Amino acid sequence: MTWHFSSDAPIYSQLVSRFKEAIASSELAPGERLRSVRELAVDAGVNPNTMQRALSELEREGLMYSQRTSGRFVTEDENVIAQLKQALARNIITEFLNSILPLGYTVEAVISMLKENSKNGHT
Amino acid sequence: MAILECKSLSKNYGRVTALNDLNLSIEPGRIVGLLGPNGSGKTTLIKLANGLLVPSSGEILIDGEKPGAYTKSIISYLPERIAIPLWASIPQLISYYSDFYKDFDAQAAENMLSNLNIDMKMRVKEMSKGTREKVQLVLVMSRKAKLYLLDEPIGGVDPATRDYILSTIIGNYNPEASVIISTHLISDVESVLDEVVFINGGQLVLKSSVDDIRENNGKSVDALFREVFKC
Amino acid sequence: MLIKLLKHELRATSRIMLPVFAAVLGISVLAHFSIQSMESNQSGIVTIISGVIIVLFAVGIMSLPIVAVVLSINRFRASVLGDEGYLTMTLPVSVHSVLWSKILVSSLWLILSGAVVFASCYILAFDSSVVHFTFEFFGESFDLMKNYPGTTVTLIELIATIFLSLCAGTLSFYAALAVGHGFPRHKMAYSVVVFFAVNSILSVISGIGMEFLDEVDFTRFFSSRGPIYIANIFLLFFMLYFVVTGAIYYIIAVYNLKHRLNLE
Repeated sequence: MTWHFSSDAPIYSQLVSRFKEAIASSELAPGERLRSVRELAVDAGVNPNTMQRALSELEREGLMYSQRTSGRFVTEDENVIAQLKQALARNIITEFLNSILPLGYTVEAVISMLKENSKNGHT
Repeated sequence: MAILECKSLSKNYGRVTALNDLNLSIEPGRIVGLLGPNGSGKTTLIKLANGLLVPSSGEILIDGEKPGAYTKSIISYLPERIAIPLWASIPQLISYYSDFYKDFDAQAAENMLSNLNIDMKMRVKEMSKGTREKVQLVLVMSRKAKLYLLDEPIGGVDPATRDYILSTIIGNYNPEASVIISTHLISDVESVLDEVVFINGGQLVLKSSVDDIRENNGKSVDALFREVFKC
Repeated sequence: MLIKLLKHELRATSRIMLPVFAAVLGISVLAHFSIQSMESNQSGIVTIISGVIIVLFAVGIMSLPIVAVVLSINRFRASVLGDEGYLTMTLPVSVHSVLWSKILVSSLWLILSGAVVFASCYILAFDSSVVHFTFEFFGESFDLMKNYPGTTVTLIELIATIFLSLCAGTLSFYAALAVGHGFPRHKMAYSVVVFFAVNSILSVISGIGMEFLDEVDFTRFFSSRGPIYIANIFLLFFMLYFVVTGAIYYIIAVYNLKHRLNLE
């Protein structure tokens, strides 16, 4: 996984977002076992306590679970992952609309631009 | 018990007050940034913790004890200067550290030195300044100390080495130990820190977790620091 | 921990002292042969080279104790008061251990310097008569020590006195350096001033003490005692003198290292 941090939001919440993206896009597969907190922290270049906080938050939201002896895993629950995808998608769409509507387009115009863009292949 | 505690700590040099009634407590398992402009009292605080200076008033406790042989055995200190003797070879330095510090891991030191491509046969005087700094850092980080005091650990090194150093600090993390990093290069270390302590004019200006600063101020610690200490 | 400090102190200083010792002993051997060649009236160039070697020999044996003292001072300055102090003074040992390791090793090098000077002269003059004289000397000395047991004790006391004088002397330098270091500027200047000032004060006190001793009539006390007894009394007196002055210097040094150390 690659990590990019911006400077104005707390790091733990940026970690949570990044993990959510990875789970939603199957970069982290359902049921996949995660590496240790320390390894993840070194990988991301962040404080282990911060990483721990992010992982605890994800566990609280049901996106991860840990078993004392075996480690920490991504949830296998399809519903939870589906809900996550929906929530993320909704956020992306809201942001998108907030950016593009002020330019003066109607929603219909935006939809047809989207269809055209998809036909020509997306990057 | 706090790993480092300052109670009404003051230090004067003649008429100059370097630290003024400082109260500070650092718990184990934290990576703390000690930030402040030059002359703020950071270096004085570090020297007091090391027992290199004696308080003018108040007290400083490390793991509940006053500075002395015990506290020195649990503190691993990286000074800003090159302190390792120039005439020594690397095996002699490793022998030195092994002899005096029970918690020194010679194998770990050798591994780190080879990761950094440092020739084990060189003497310190034959090394460039950057290499000397790396060697000194490796020796300090190869100890399993309870308190690491790092004075400008990433100042003079290239970005790749900087990343290696920060990875080592993170990788060495131990919930019973704390690391205090005194530095100017805040943006580089910010993601590694749990808490920051701002010191100016010998006094504590701010102590907060990095997350709180970002949440409450909507900006990074680096940006806040520039604001607070604007010239 | 003191043993480890001694080990590392020896390691740090022997890399200079041992080569110097080797050089002086080497020059002595060369000088020995140079004298022989000069006596046998060789050609001009050989005579000149021999002369140079003999001069080097003289320089060598005279400067050896000075080298030992200078090394001792520089070693203290660098490893305690200089950048290396960040390492030395944060070791998990007491200031006392650090100080003693340096005093003992410095005194050792001074004693060995004396031995090397003596050995060099011996090498220079070495021939069959010298060998004969040596055997005689040791033979008679052992006889003396066997027949007059007090001699052995006195010899031991003499060695102890010499050792204590070296410790006290070394400490006088360390105390001066430690005091001078505590000043923000002109550290060496202050050290030199303190060194001479304290020495002068102690000399004056000793002088006054001597005056008093002059007044006392010792002849009655000593007339009935043998020379060994008198020698013992003198040696004990000197040992006491060096212990007292050494203690004063020690207290000054420790106080300054604990309270006025300011590494930059």
